[in-house]
Amino acid sequence: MEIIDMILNGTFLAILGAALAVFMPGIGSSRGTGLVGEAASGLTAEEPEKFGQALLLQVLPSTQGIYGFVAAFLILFKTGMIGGNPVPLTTVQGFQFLAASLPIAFAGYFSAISQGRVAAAAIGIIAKRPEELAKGITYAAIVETYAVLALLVSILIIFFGIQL
Amino acid sequence: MAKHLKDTDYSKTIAKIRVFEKHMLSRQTLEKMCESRHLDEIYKTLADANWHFSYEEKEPSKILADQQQWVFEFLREAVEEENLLKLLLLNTDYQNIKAFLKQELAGNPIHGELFLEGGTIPVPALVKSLTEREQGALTKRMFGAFLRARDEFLEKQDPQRIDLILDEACILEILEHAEAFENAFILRYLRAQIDSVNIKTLLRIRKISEEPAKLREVFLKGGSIGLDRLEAQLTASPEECKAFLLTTEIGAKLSAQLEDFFKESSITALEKGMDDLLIEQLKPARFIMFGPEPIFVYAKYMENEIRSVRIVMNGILSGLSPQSIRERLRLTYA
Repeated sequence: MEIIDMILNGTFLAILGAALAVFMPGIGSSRGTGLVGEAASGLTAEEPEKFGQALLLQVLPSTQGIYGFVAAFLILFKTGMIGGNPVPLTTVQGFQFLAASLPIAFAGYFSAISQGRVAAAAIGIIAKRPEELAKGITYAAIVETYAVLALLVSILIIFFGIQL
Repeated sequence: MAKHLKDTDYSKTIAKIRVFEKHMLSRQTLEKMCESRHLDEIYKTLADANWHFSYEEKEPSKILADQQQWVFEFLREAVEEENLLKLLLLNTDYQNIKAFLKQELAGNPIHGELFLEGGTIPVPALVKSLTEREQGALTKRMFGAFLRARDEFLEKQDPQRIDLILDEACILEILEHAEAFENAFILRYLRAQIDSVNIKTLLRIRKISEEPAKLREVFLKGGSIGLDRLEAQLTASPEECKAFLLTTEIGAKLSAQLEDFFKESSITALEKGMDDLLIEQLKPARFIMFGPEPIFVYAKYMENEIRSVRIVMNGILSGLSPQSIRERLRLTYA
C-alpha cells in the first residue's frame, strides 16, 4: 500500500513528468547527434575543411534535448520545487503535470532520431555539393517543427491547463 | 551467428563513399583518355581522379593492382559485417587460386608477384594450403574446387575447365554469403549477374553449334532461370529462343540487342548491353542513404572503373584507334 501511495503522490508524479521530459528527448538527441556525428567523422576524415558544415548538421537534433530540459524546468518552477517553496500537489494535479510532459517527451524522442537520420543523409549532400548545405538544413529543420509544436503544447498545459 | 548491423551503422562509411564518388571517372573522362597517345597522359588523369598508385612505377598492371589493393583495404577497414566483406573479397581468393594452379600446371615457379593481396585469405596462407594440398586457410568449397579443377585439367588437358570450375565455385560461395546477409538488393544483383552469364553461355553454344551437353557443364546455379528452361532453347528455333529470352527480366530490357543478335549473329553488342544493364541495376543505390547497398555498389563501380581503365590502357598499348577503344568501354557511374 505504501508503494501505491507513493506512486499516487502528486509531487512524485510531477517529478516523474519532469524526468520524462528530460530523459526521453535527451536519449533521442543523443542518438540523433551521434548518428550525424558518425557520418560527419567519415566526411571530415576525407575532407577536414567541411568540419564546420558537418557540425552545423550535427547540432540540429540536439534541440529536442534542450526543449525537454525547458519543459522540465517549467514543471519544477510551477510546482515551486525551484525556489524552495514546493506546492503540495494532489494526485490529479500530479497526473496533470505528468500528462503535460508527454508531448515533448515522445515527440522529442522520435523527432530527434528522425532528424538525426535526415541530417546524416544531408552529410551526403555536403560531401558532393557543399554549396547546397542550406537544402540539407531545410530538410532536417522540417522535422524540428513537430518537436517545437510538442514543446508549445507542453508549456500551454503547464501554464494554463493546470490550476494550483 | 552472423552479426547484423543497423542500416545507420554504415553512415560513416557511406559519407566517405560519397566523397570518393565525386572523383570517379566519368564516361567523358574515359572517352578523353581513349584519345591519349601516351600512357603518361592517362597516369595524370588517374592521379587527378585520386587513384592511389606510385607515380614512379609507370607500369600499367602495377598501377591497376595498386588501385585495386587500395579499394580492398578500404573495404576491409570499413565493412564490419563478415558476410558482406566476404562476398566483396572472395573473388580475389579465387583469382589467386587460378593463378596458382595455372603456374603450377605449367611447371613454373610460384612467386608472390602472381597474386593479388586483398582477398579474404592472406596470400602466404593461401599458397601454403595449396602447395601442401591441405584445406588449411581455404574454405571447404574453395579447396574442393581447387582439387576438382586440377584433376579435370590433368584428365582433359583443357585450361578452360580451371576457369569454369573455379568461377562457378566463386559465384556460389558469394551467393551463399549474400543469402546469409539477407539483403534483397545485393541478392537481386547477383542473381541477375548469374542469369546474364547463363544467357551468354546459351547464345554462344547456339552460335558456334557446340555440344548441347556443354550448357549443363558450365551452367551456373543460383540464377532465376533454371537449367531445364535454358536447355530447351538449345534446340528451339531462333524465333522461339528470342521469344523465350524476351520473357526473362534481362531479355525484356535488351530487346533491340536481342533482335540484332538473331539477325546478325554478333554477340558483342548483346554482351555489352548485359554488362551495362548490370551497372544500370546498381544506380538506385545512389538514393539509398543508409545500409550496406552503397558499399556494395561502390565496390562494383570501382571494379568496373578499374576494368575500364585496363581496357583503355591495353587499347593504347595495342595501338587501337580511339573509336575502337571507346566501343569496348562499358557504362560508368558518372
